[in-house]
Amino acid sequence: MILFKNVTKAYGEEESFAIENINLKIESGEFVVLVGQSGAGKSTLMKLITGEQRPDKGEVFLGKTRVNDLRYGDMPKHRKSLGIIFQDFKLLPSKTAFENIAFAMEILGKDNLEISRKVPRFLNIVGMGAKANKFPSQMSGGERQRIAIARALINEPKVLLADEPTGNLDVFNSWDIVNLLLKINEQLKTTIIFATHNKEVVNSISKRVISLDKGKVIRDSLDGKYII
Amino acid sequence: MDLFFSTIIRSIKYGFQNFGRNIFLSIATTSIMVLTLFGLGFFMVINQISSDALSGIQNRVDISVYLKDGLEETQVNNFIGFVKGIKGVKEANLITKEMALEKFKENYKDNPSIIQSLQVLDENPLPVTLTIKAENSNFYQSINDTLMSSDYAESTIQETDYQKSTSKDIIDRLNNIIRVTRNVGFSVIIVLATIAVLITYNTIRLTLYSYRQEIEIMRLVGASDAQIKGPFFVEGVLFGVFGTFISFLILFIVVLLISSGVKEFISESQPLSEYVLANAFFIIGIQLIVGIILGVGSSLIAINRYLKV
Repeated sequence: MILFKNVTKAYGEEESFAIENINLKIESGEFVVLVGQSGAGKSTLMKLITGEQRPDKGEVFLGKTRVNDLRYGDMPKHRKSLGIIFQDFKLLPSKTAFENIAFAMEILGKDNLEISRKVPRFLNIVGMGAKANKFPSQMSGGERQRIAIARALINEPKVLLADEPTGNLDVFNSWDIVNLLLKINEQLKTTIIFATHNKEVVNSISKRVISLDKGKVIRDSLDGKYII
Repeated sequence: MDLFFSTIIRSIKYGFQNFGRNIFLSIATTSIMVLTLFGLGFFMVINQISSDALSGIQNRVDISVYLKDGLEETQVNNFIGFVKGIKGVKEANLITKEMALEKFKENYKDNPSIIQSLQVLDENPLPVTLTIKAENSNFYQSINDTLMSSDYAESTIQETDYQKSTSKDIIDRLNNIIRVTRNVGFSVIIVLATIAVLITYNTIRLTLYSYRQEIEIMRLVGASDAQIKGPFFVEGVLFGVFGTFISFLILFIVVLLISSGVKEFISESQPLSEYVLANAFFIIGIQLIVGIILGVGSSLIAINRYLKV
């Protein structure tokens, strides 16, 4: 469960609130869509969950963990419970698809046996089993995002934060990625927070939609409609 | 525990990889480290040469106290007792008139005219002499002052050769040269070390820049501080370690080349190559400690400044 209690975050001067007095509760296993224009506060909301930003006021919880209280040394453990994907994929160009995913396991000290057993499974989950040895430059945008998703999931996080993952993709690939996220949410029971601008996608998937505007929640509805 | 060991192994592996990834930059950084550590090693060798030279000359230096003619044996013995009690006196040896004459003849055996001129005289003109050796050269001045301010200055001493001695000048000059050499050597090492720190710092900074994507991803998936910083720390250690071994090798070659020349110039000096070989572990140890401190110190400055984990 993710909980925001009266959370406010301002950058620079006091008046420019990125997030203002937000109260939210996201249950485990939920699929939530965050919508809003650029600067509405979607990325800040995600950064408050990852601990990259601290609230000026209020409290943020991930499960029983009060993110406000996390010290510098607690961050690695906290971040292991989260998977994050971005619009720009953030894949390492010098590594193959397999190596990019394995990298996330390797740095957490997983042994080669576990890596060689688990990575192909996740490559298959994202439908990229046949492209394990391809480099990012040899893949399409949609394929790269699938690899990024596999990497985010490989350490089996409780929550997947997807910050505009379809922003760089065409319509076909966008649908592909959204369907993959839905499948992951359904099969792996991973909580997914999906920030997007894509109205068509939001309206089609019938999930909870939280609309942000100038740092405030202006709508939180289960009707699956993109309304700002 | 597994994570601890895998972090160490991973840090070493990626430390080497970082080193190789920017190979020309790494060579440049290692070169300046080599230069600094070579300077340090050479400074240690120079220090040894100058100490050998100084102690060699010090061993040859003494004060000769010429005694007045016609002194009783008891007066001479009392004086010897007094001299041996002066602080800093290592030994005092009496040279009788006869011994002095024998020595004189020995010294001038190739010059018969001088020997003949001595024979013309009715009596032995050479005075009874007391030669005094001090524990080290710094005591000569105070020994001479004590002698000249004592009652024996009037009653027993004809003169001392201390003020006339060229040895005093040589020791003073040598001490000055050693002091200047040490100061210059130390300053050069400080300058080189500063340059080494700046270059290593910049190399690590560029490596951090080239690894920014990996670092970001590591951070995202929950890598710890040690996992992210470890390879850069190891890279700093590598500059120090490679610098040490290359600089010692160069130092040994240079010492081999100059060893015989130095031996001719300063006969008291132990052959330098022998000195370097006998003290190899000590020299390498000092170079390694300094090299690692410089490498790791520079890395830590760069990491703390540019790697906000």
